[in-house]
Amino acid sequence: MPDLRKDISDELKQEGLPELEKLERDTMSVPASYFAALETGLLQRVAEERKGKDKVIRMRVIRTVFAIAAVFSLVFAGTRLLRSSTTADANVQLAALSDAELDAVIDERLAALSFDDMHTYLTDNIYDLETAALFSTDYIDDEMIDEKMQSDVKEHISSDPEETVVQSPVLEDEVFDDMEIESNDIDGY
Amino acid sequence: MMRSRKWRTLDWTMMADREILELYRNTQTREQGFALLVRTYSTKIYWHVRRMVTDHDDANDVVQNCFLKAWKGLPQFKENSKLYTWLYRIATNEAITFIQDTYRRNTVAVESEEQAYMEDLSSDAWFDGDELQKQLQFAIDLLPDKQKQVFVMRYYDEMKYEEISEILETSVGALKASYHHAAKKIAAFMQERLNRA
Repeated sequence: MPDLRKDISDELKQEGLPELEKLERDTMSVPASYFAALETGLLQRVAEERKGKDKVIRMRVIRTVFAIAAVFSLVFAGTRLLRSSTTADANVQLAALSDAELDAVIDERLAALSFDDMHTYLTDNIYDLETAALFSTDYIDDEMIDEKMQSDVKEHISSDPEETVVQSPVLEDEVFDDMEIESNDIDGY
Repeated sequence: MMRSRKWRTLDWTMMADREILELYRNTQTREQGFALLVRTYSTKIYWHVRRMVTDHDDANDVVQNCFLKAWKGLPQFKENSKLYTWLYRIATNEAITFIQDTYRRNTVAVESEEQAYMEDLSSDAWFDGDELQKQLQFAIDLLPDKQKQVFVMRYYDEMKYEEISEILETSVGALKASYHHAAKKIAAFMQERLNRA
């Protein structure tokens, strides 16, 4: 350090400023405990900035969530509106047709279908079609199903199981004898 | 073997830098790290800035901006240089920006500028220099930015050319030339005032 001071002093002399070398350099002062206050002030500003940043980030997240929610709502509402209007339009169009026109439309549509189209449709929707056939047919109502079930029960199920065996056209005595023979063979074996 | 004071100072600065960076990188102790940075370097940085801008309130503003920039910039700090070199660089740039902004706002003739400057210094509670010291301060204020930086760092901060070179990223030769031009201008200014008196 003394070497450095000497160098600076020599430089000043060389530059024609020897008086600066003797000049007191500490001509400036600061308020009492300025540096402690500076530290406190800076820490406060940093803390405020951090809080501000947190708020900004939180606001940004909230805004993003709201934006996403709004987009979803719009898409959902739009889809529903479009779907209901399409169905409604179709219903209105169909209602305006007479029976003859409807038949013509159905015939036309059916004629337009190729065998491959039908095959593809049936194989793709076979399970749905079976279910639909059970539940959406116009020819069989609940009463008819009940009647059918009752008649089937009366015809095939008797309250006495032995009677059922005797009455059965398939299970005759000879058949039973054969079955006994086979059963004895198995035991003997 | 006893180590020289210079080495002890260097060790201490490096230890402080390491501790500051370790504290800062942990989000739990980030503010502690910053507090240590301010405590370690604020005095040096303040006086460097004060010599450049003269007024205490202006220096305070510049120093605060400098440390806030350091707070934001510390994540990008590469440990190629010392923290204090990096801080000096920020402080010097901030001071120059401040001086340029002030200069743009106050475009008045040198004569009236000198009068206003002297009056300001006389009424400044935090300046207690005599007439010669006020003239020196004004002469420094008239220097171009680069020459002012070099002169302040060499004359007031008593820094080696190598250190100044690291901070200002300028060659030692160019710095010596800047110092020479600055000193010549100051000498001419002082001589003229002496002759006038």
